[in-house]
Formats: sequence, structure tokens, C-alpha cells
Amino acid sequence: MTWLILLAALSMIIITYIVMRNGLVAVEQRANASWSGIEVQLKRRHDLIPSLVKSVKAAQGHERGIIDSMVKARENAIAALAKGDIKDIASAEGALASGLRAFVSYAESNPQITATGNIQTLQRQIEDTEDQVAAARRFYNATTAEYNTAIKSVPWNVIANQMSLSARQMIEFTAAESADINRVPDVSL
Amino acid sequence: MYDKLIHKLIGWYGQIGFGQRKWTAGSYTASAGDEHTAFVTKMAPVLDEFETIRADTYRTVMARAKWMVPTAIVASIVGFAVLPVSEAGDGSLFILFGPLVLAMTAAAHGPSTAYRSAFKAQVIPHFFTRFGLDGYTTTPRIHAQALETSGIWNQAITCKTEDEFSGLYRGHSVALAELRIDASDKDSTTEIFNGILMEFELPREVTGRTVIVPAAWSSEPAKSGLFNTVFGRPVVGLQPVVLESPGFNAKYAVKSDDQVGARVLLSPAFMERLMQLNTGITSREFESMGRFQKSFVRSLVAASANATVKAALPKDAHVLEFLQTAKAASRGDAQVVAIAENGRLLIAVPKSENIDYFEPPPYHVAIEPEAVLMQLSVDIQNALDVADAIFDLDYRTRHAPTGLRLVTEVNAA
Repeated sequence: MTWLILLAALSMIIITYIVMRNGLVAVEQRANASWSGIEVQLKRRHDLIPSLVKSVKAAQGHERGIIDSMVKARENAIAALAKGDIKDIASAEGALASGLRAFVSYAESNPQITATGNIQTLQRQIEDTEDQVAAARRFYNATTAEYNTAIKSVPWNVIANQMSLSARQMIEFTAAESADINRVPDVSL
Repeated sequence: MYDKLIHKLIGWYGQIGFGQRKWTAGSYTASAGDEHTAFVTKMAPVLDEFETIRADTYRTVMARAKWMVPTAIVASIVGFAVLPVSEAGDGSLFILFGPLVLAMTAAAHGPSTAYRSAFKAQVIPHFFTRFGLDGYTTTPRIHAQALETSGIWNQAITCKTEDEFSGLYRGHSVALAELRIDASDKDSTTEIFNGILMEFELPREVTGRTVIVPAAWSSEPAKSGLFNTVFGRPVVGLQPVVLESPGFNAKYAVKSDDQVGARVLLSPAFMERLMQLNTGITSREFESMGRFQKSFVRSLVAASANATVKAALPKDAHVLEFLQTAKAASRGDAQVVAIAENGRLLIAVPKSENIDYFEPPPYHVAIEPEAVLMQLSVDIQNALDVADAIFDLDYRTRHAPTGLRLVTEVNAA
């Protein structure tokens, strides 16, 4: 009888361990998948810049400056993404997003730039991509918060240690990005 | 004397069919400038013509009721004579009032249905055209089947739509129809929803399928917390979406097959908009609030959640009435159901206070054109507030004109 009880207890411990470990794996997978979602959107953003540059190749003066800094920011962003360091990626993408915002803002105030259908299409694609990047980042932060909570909580932290899981960096929004995302249009109800 | 009695009966019976809405002229004063003046001028002959229909309807119902009501009274007397009250038991109430109700229904049903149809076909489309929705059909094409196949309700449901208005609003395709949802089981059919269904072309790229329902309706509300994080997610199909706003998560349950797509749709701004819509502020609340201004109303909405602030508010009947309404809305009485897929958003908004939108004024009193003009414009504007909330998500249109907006003020008296 004692043996049976010990066997049952041991089985319970093993089953609990397997379920908990699988649970952590699922949380880790969700966090990984959400990061992949960000990568896809960032690559989509990078791919838009050459078309944009091509469309305004005759640009001069202030416009040329905006384009050049955007191209430089894109190169940095691609390099950072290849390297995989999240802090570098966040910083490089922040610079690229600022460049894109500057271009969109400049284009909106200069109708001769937006007069061509191609620029309008690109502008729309940029805006859609920015929406997707922001949403992917929110999803990443949500899954990363879940993951970080899971690996730091008792008793999951014991298994997380065994699996060599470590806390991940969340991506913060810059003040300008937060203002953009949170802006509530002024329409009275 | 007899005519007055029948008139009163028609008014009483009409309240059942046409609700309690006040259509009194002077409830609203418009200050929307030249456009409003031009619209009033344009609508004058339309409303004059409709007044003729109303008067004809009233005369027809009156003429029928004049002989049907006495017949019903005789039937009641005969009923009691044949079956004394002591033997009728629970049926005595039916014997007393049943013939009268049946008589009024027989007298009013046909003419009032025709009156309602005439209003929807001849008057309402002008109001929607004013807002850019110039398409009208009595056989809606709006995709209500998406609700039937959504799996939101545990029971089998049937969606019935009628009177669809459609067109371009702020450059986007919009369709709007009245919606009634019935749920059926093997024994009975029950109405579970009555309101407006709107379909919008989404102004931004939203992938996947996302369903938004009041949290109270969901058998699996989205929950945060470690146990739910690790074990609480389905592997396939629509998965719960836990958003950043605890307030939103408490009021709405969101499920989607695309977590990123759901977040593109439910940006913080849109979540806030849905929460605002959820306060259920409509023209009727504004009416009940007397002299209070919109800005003060908004602060009241915020303050009503705080017991201390609430206690400090002036004991004005209008304020208290509003707070009660806001409280009812916060229970979920005015929450919406929405489905986004294939670049379109379907959103169902329940009617409030048992008053149908776009219903005609009662036919037993003469139409007050100014009251009709303002009330219907406010109705449509309230419905299009939902469209504004969606289109304002898109920063390409954020600075575009927000459609036609009327300023409504309430007489201080």
C-alpha cells in the first residue's frame, strides 16, 4: 500500500512537471511567434523605402535631406534586425519611423509630391504598415509580459531555470509614437 | 365626448406601437446654420404630404374604432353574462380587456403599418441623404448572416433585417439596417436583440476575423493571470484577446484568429471610443438633462462612478435621472456586438429605452415639423457617431470634415 501511495505521488509529480513544462514552452512559443510578427512587419516597412526613394528620385533641397536620412535609417534598421539585439532594433526602428513620419508630414504639406498616384499608394502602404507595426508591438509586449510573469512565478521559476529561460525585453513606445497611437479624435458624442 | 374617448384610446394604444418618445415642438432648437434652414425648406412639402397621410391614417383608425370599440364592450358584457367572474377565474381580466385590445388592434394594425411604411419610404430617406446615405431598400443586403454563423450565441439564432440605408459617409461605404435577433430552442423563440446593424468598409488594413461581444455574454471571457496565461488558451479557432485596457476587458470579450489584426482594429483610441459609446448617451438623455451642457455631462459620466463625487452633486432631478441612465448603461444595457473580417466591420447597436430608431411620430396628433426634423436628425447622428468612431481611427481622415453635425440645444424651460 505504501508503495502504491508513493508511486501515485511520484506519478502526480511527474505529470505536474510535464504539464507545467509544456505550459512554459507554450508561453515561450507565443512570445517567439509574436516577435516573428514584428520582424515580418519591420521587413515590410524596410521594403517600402526603396519604392519611396525611386518615386521621388528628382527630390532636391529639404526633401532630399529627408530622403537621405530615411535611407540611412533603413540601412541601420536592416543591420540591427540582422544582428537581433532588441535594444538596437528598437533604436534603429525608432529613427526610421521618425524619418517616415517626417516624410509623410512633408508630403502632406506639399501637394505636388502627393499629386502622383504612386506616392499616394505608397503613403497608404506606409500608414498601413505603421498600424501593423504598432499592433504587432502591442501583441509582442502582451506575450512578453505573460512570459516574464510566468518564468518569475513560483513554482514555474524552478522549471524556467532548468530550461535556461530568461526575462525578455519589452519594447517601449517613444513619446511621439504613444501620442500617435493614443490620439483620440475630437468628435463629440 | 365619444370622439374624445376614442381619441384617448387611440393615443394609449399608439404608445404601445410608437413608444414614449416626446415629439413636441420646442424640445429642440437648431443652430446648424444655413444648411439646416435649407433642409427645413426642402422638407416642408415632404412633411406636409406626410401630414396628409397621418391625418388619413388617424381618420381611418378613428372610423374603425368608433364601431369596433362598442362592439368590444358589448362582447365583454356578454362574456361576463355567460361566464360570471366567479367562474372565469384568471380569465376574467381577458374577458374584461381582451375584446377591447383586439378591437383596437383590428382597427389600427393595417392603417398604422401602412403609415409606418410610408414614413420609412417617403420621409426617412431624405434624412439619410442629408448625411450622404442616399440608398434605400426594403430588402437589405447587409451581411447579417455573419452574426448567425459567428458562434457568439450558444443557441441557434435568426437575424431579421429591414429598411436598409446605404451610401458613402465621409468617403467610406456604410450600410445601416434595423436588426432583430431571435434565439430558438426546441420549445420557443425569444427576441434577444433589437437595434441597428451597421456595416462599414474599414479604413485601414485589418487582417483576420475578430469578434467583440459584451463580456457578460462570453462563456470564456478573456482573462489575464498566470493560470490563464499558461493553461487557458484554446489551440485552434478564435482565441481570446487580452488587451491593455482593464476597463475594456471588463466590459468586452474579444476573440480573434489574428492577434495582430485584432489590435490594429482595437487601437487604444478605438477602445476608448467603444467605451464612450457604451455610456449610451443619446438625444433622450440630453433632453432629460435640461440645461446641462455636453461638457458637464461628460464629467458627470466620469463622476458617476465615484460615490463621494456623486453624493456631492446637486440634487437636481435631471442630474439624478441622467445618473440612473448612465448606471443602467454601465451595466451593459447599451453595449455593442461587432465582427470584423474581410476589410469590413459589422456592428450591432441595441436600441435604448424601448424606443425604435427611425419610427414615425404617433398618428393621433398633428406632426410638429421642427420636432420631427430635429429628432430624426439626432437619431441618425447618434447612429453615425459609431461610423465617426471608426473612421476617425484612420489618421488619413482624422482631419477631414466629420460629416454633418448639428448642434442641439435644449430649452431651459
